[in-house]
Amino acid sequence: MTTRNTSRRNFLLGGAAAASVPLLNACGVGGSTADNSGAAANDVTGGFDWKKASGTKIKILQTPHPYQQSFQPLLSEFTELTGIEVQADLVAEADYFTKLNTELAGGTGAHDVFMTGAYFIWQYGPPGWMEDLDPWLKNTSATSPDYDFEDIYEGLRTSTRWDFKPGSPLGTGGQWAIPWGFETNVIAYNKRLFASRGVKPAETFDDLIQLATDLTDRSKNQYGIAFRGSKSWATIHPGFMTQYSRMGCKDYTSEGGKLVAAMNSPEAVDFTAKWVQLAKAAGPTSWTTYEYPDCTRDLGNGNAAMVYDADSATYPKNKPGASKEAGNLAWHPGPAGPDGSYATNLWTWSLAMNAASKQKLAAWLFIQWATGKDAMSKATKAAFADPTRKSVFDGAFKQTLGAFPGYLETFEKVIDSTKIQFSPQTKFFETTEDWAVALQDIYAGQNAKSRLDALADSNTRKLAS
Amino acid sequence: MAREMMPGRRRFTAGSVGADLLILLWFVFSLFPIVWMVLLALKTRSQQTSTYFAFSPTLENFGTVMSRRGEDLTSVNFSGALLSSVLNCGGAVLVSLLIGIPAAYAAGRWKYRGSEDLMFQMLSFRFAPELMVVVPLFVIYNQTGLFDTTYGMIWVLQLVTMPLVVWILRSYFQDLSPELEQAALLDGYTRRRAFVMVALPLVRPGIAAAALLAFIFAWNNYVFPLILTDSEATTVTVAVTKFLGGGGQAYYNLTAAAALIGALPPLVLALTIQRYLVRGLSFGAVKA
Repeated sequence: MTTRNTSRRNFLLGGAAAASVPLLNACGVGGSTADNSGAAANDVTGGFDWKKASGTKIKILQTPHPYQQSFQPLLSEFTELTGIEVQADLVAEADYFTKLNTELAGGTGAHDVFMTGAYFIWQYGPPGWMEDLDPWLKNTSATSPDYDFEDIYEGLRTSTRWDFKPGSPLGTGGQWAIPWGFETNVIAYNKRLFASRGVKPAETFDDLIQLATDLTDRSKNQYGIAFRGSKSWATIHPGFMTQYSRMGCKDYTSEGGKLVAAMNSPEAVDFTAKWVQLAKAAGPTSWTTYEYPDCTRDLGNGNAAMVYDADSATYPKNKPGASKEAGNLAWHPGPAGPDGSYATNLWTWSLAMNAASKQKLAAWLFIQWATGKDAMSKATKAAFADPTRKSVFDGAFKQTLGAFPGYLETFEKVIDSTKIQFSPQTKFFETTEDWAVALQDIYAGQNAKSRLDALADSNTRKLAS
Repeated sequence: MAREMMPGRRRFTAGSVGADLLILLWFVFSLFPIVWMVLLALKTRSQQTSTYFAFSPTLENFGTVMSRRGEDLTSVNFSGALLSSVLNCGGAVLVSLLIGIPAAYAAGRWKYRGSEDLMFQMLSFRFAPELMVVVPLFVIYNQTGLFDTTYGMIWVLQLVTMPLVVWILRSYFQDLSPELEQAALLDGYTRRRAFVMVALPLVRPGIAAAALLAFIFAWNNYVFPLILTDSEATTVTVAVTKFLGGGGQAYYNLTAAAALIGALPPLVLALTIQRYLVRGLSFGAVKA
């Protein structure tokens, strides 16, 4: 889940990097030594051996997260298996991409491996900051015969693969990261409250609006549904984009290799107006500031009856002692579209290799180990929610789901339709934040049609420039 | 004839009581975030998002933050970061004082062509957005081996501490009568000895004030340690944010406890040298 704001700070950094790195290069100081041509992968020959890079040391950059915490105790096992020492550095989630952006722009290869989200590939991939992992996957000298890349859910594999051509869909081009953990965006609800009111989760979007409104009682500080509303691209990607896609709406259409914004199509305008109406009638009173921790907090405290966000964001609130409503939470896929669609947007924390890394074989062995079956199974038994491998989900993860009513059924309902529902494009963060601003403007009273027309016009022009 | 008020006595009127109440309200309002942080630091994890004042307080969070248990739970070595902050900031202030005091003395005593430009140049380090200079610094630090080291942090923090020390102390030296040093020179002192034996003792309160302010600014700095350190030389400001966690697993109670512990060193330092500080900050406040 993401509060990951690539905001003013990152824009400043981008500008600073663009201006300063070439200047430093000209002065003979620093600069990128990145080579993502796949040559390093092709240099690895002979039979596969985990000890091939024994005696080296790698640094990995991570953000505090249940995924990272589940793997932390296992790092010594990796060192024992490979003889590679690992230094794991942590940066708080709010500033993680600020730090990562600086590092990659600097081209120093300070960290060999880093956590990243799929959307960030669209920003970090085109400048050549990321290593294409496809040659590594294909090289049997570098990749264990037991690795089984196809075991990772298809929607995740394709979400981290792109050729960087505008209008080109995901799933073609280089493999820029390996999905590690992920989340689907569904509804978590308070089953104690639902039982006391004698209601069931809604199966259509109109029913969801009615249900959430019925469950709202402002005098008791209780409201129907929480979803994000802050001025951030991350407001669009969870519940909004999931339901938007289920209602048959598109963000862009491709016309002659150019992307044309479609968030002002009649069905998109209709859906957006209803979504904002839902926020007004049954959302938190300070919706325009809401990020996922606010949503899950309200669910855990019993203030929100439902949350439409990442399944793994709500999952920790049901653990004993973790919240007031722990043990009372349940999950539901959320409303299907008019045609029965369960199209669901995803977020995946993936592992990627710095193209400027000086220890690429060791880095690849780490990525391979961390996304492999054995380590992921062990981590899943700790706190790793939504492993990216089908075999691990069917094995270790199902054993941990006993106290989580509906979680498994929900997952199985949506997984085949779960993928990145956005059109990939290099100005994703800027244009999607504009989209969130448009939602806020409509919430403040502007006409949905005219505001979305202006947004679509602006975004189409931005992508053409 | 209006009766004169005795010094120290005041007349209670509805207006003065109302004003006092307003000030009291403002005081409570201003301090509330601190109070809330203290309360949060005393809550358990299951209580951390409740908005009620009634809860079972515990001091466990402070122990967790400082111990190996906290590191195992959150992967954050907070006690190490605390020590790094002390070394980084203490070292940075020391270097700034060693270089900045003679610089401030020279700037306060002598005018020469471009001296004001030079002082403004130094002040401009404080104006420059840190994010604009940190990318080239990151590259240079990686090339020179200064990345993630105490030496590197002491060096970069000069951008924060040096302008403060020089500018604050320059005004102290300017306010100091030059006749005192001239008298010492007449008595046979060298210029250096006059500086050390006469001028320096007289600006001690100013040095204390400048050092404290520089220490606080260095302690609070976030961007430089965020970008220029990893695990070895990271500081309290960066470490505190890591307790916020991610992926729906936040430790707000530990974050509050860590923030309170992190606020202690500058607070203790300020209280210790409060005597100098008050005198130092008021010194030179009124100029002829």
